Amino acid sequence: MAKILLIEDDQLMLKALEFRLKKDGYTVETAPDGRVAMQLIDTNIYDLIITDIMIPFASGLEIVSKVKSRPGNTTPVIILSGVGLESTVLEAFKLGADDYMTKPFIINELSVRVRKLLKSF
Amino acid sequence: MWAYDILNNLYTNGILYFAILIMSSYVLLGIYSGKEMAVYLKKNSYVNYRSILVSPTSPAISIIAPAYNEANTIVENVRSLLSLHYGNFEIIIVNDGSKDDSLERLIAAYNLVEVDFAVNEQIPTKAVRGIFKSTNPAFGKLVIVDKDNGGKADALNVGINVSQYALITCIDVDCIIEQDALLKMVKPYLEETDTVIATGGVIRVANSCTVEDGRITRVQLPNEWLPRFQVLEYIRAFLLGRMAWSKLNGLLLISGALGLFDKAIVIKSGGYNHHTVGEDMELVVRMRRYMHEHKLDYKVVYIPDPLCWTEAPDTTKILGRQRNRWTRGTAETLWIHRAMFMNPKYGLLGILSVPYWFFFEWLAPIIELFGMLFSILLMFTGNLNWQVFLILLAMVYTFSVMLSSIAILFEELSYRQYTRRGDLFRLFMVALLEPIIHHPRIVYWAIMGNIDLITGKKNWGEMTRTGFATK
Amino acid sequence: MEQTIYSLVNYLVLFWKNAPPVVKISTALLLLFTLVSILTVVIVIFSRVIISYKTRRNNDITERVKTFLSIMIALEEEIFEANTDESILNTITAYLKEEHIKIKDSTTRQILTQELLLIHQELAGNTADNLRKLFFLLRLDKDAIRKLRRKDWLKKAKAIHVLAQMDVIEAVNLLLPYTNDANPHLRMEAQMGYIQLHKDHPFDFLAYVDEDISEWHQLNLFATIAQNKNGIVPAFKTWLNSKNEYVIVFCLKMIGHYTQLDAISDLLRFMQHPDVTIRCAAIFALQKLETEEGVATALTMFDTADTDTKQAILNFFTEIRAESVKPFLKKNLFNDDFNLALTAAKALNNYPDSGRAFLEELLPETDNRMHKIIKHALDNRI
Repeated sequence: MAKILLIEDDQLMLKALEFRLKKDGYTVETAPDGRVAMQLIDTNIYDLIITDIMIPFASGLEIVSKVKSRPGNTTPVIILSGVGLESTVLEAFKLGADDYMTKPFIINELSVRVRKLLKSF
Repeated sequence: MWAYDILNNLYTNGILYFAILIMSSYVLLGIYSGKEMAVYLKKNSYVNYRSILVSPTSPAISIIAPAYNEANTIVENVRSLLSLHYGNFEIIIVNDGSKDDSLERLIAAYNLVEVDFAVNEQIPTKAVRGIFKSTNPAFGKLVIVDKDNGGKADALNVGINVSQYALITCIDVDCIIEQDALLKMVKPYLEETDTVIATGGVIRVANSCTVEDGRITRVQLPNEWLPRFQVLEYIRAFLLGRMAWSKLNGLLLISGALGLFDKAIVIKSGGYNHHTVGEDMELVVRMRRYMHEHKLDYKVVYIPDPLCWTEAPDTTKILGRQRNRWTRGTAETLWIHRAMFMNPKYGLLGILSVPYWFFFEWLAPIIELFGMLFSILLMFTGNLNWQVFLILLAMVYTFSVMLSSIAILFEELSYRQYTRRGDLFRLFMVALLEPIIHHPRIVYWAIMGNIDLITGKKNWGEMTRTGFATK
Repeated sequence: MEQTIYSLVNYLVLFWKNAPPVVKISTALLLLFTLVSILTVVIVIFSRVIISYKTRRNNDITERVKTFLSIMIALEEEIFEANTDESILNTITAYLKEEHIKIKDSTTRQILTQELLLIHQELAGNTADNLRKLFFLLRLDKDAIRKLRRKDWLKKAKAIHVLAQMDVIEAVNLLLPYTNDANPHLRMEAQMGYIQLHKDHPFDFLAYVDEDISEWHQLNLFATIAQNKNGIVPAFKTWLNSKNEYVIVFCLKMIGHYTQLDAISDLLRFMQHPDVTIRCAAIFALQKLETEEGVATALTMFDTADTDTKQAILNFFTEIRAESVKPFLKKNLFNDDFNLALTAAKALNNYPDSGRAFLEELLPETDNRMHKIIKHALDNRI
């Protein structure tokens, strides 16, 4: 069973996605801000990470660069953000993000993208 | 004996009338401020600042921050300025001939290189040595100016000359600016259909607050008494007074720590004046004077949201220097613009704002001193009417406590920053003790400021700060 | 005991009688100030108690509401799909009960509406539709419509926001009267709501609005148009004949942003408008359209124009790179106004080949000021 880390500062969104991904059959851990997320990433290995960009104490982009710069790390990262600016999207991909979804988004679509990424890795 | 009676009579009754005059003006301003604050809070209770953030048509802002010997904190401070929430802005750091390695540290941290920048010298300043930009596009918003030392006003003027946008925000580089400060400051400029020439923000005391990554994460009442007194002073000044002055369009002072200005008007009025230590107040007065003399409609607006946090002096020595400088700044500004005093040509500004500053900000400590000296004289000659003396003293004391309590009430009903258990109790204690412990010192420093002004002693009141980065 | 009280009262009465007016006034004030201080302290403490109670209660409700909504989202297929409204409502009610949410309580309904709105904005597709369905099933739309009749403008404005976000189409006519309201906040919210809710003619109000539309207001209208789901972008030249100058400025901006090329002839007319804001907005729109029309007019009006208009014209030329304006730009390199000269230099630098070469050739034979300006324009890092 794949293990997913979900980073999102909106509590309701976090809960809803957690329930939904659990229902899809994954193990889900959550972090409400960048600091908790960084700690979790340091001590755990995840099969996939979903992160927002505008979160307290760190940017989602910092999280991507941290995960991707670790030697031998192949954990895929999906960005899920309200920021859809061209420059931000490009920067995210440059840092190594595997997918980028802009809010408002379709939950079923996220679910499919998660499944696809987990299969290909 | 006859002259003595008159003097004595003037003393007892005069003090009462002067006190009543001051007190009623404070009360009126307080009531008016409260009303305005309620209006402000209501209309901003559900504002979505995101539309400014994302709109391609929102105005661009040049942030100007002068720095002098700030090597320990400058790199961190620039980083937190870069993370401000705003779409289109540039950050101009003016290194005012620092003797330390501020510039070298900036160059190393942000990959700076010198560029061929043509400075439009609209305001005459000391020589610019060089202008630097980053080779890293992530720091594209950053402009570093290196110049000969010339003081804060001169550094700000250089920043104005270098800036490319029509709106400028002048800040103290060592303050902590809230992330959405620019969004909130620019809103009145967009919202008012009259021309807004300047917007001022509230300054709050950051001592003992938790600071993480250049951001206030937990607000706390300072642990030491000296900054605590200043918390109350700031709450009172900002919540009870400025909102009313803003609504009356009579605001004279926008703190140098955070203010947004219409650059065109700043330049037309001549920029910051480097002959005074009160360059922030002097500029606002001069801009207003310019607008009046050219018969232009305008507004100076003030925003009550806590947008800027500063480390307040925590030793009497540094605080004394600061207050000494404030007094001289006020006196110099009033002197430079004495033509406006009681001059109906300047409307409300001439007949109310300037006289208010003259009588209540500049003259009050002097009158207080003479009152006290005279009381002591009477005491020694055995002529003091103890009953009158004590009751007057008690009355003024209770008034001061009342004013502080009302300020605390306003704070409680608006921004409620001090929410820890016991904070309220401590604030009220401060209100009770301040008139006895803190106020005499304030008067003393104000007097010393005037003496220094007369004797021509130049003390720039350099601020020695521990800096947030070390915490 | 009685004796001492009596003598104390007696003493005070005597004191008052013999006191000079100064003391009387001061004593009265002293008592007043003390009383007000005590009263203030009491109010502060009282308000803190009430506020902290309310906050705790609201936090508690919010917590439950969030859990409830997250269940609605996670289990949307089971709850909403292929069911009748009645059975959906039954399921929802059961979940509400499980989370101890009192749906009849007005604070609860307010919090639920607010949270629903926030999450609805973030989601699209089926989930968003289902949340909207939930909104109607719980009759939260009726709450908003009722609030629209309240006297307080803030209540009205908030209600309009809810109605617009949740797409309560039948409320559109209720908004219409407020689109020209005297209160600027209510007026703005109503216009934004109208744009979102009216499916055929969402910009009708531009024809008759005679109240101000501040820049802040314009920003928000623009944001609404940009996010609008029904995607109607009208031909903004329709309202250029408005008597309201704010409407004209707004339409000029929109023409530029949405590159409405069929409005060019109007732009040519407005670039000579007596009002400087309108003039500059028209020139800026031409710049956005990247059209060479207007160049001739701009060239003839330049010399007599004010500085702002001159700056706008040079900015316009920077963007279009027309061969016909090159001599003009070369001449304006020597403009006395520093900013205009610099813009001219930047405009020349913008010509991919010849302009830059020209500047570089000019460089050795210029005076100090010009030298600096050209160097600046040539430095692409700035």
